Amino acid sequence: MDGRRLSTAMNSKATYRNRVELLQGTLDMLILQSLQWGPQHGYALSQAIRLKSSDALQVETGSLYPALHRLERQGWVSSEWRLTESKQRARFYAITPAGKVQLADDHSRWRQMVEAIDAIMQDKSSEAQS
Amino acid sequence: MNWWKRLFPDRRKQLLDEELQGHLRMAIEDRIAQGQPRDEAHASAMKEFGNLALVEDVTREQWDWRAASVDPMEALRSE
Repeated sequence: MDGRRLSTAMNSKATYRNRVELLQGTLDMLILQSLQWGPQHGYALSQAIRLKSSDALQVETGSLYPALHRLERQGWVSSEWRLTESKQRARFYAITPAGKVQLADDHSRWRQMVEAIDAIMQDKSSEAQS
Repeated sequence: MNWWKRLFPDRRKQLLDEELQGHLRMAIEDRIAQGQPRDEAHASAMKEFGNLALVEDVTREQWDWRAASVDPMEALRSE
């Protein structure tokens, strides 16, 4: 696996939980954003996130499925069983109206967080003093 | 186990298993379509997927409304 890829690979239950918790906020946003393009099953979602990030992000199953099931419990996605193009039964997830509101909110807060972190990282005055 | 569960095995667990098995099957088929031999495709898809039982376990934990959310974005949302 590419060392630069941000993977959520796990090998124990404790590690699974930690990764889920750490990634939960941004993963929710990425899933909801990906579902804006239309309903998708879990495998297609993981591939979409990987491709859209030019292979930088690989969402592993141990993070993806807990997130999808939690988002459904929260009412931000809905799901239904349908056939794929290759005629296999799969569970397709769709973003709900409440999910769209949540996505807009998460995206706005994400931008604020990035700007705040960027302001610290770009702080030339503190660099000069050190 | 109560009588209801004895009569009707947990359908939700079966559906989760079907969902995850489907993910794995698609990952294998994708690799075969890209030219990998079946054995190799199966092995690499299994490796990438991780431990099926653990994935099922952590996913089932999310069904409970009490599942704790330790989420950096959650902290911001509640402000």
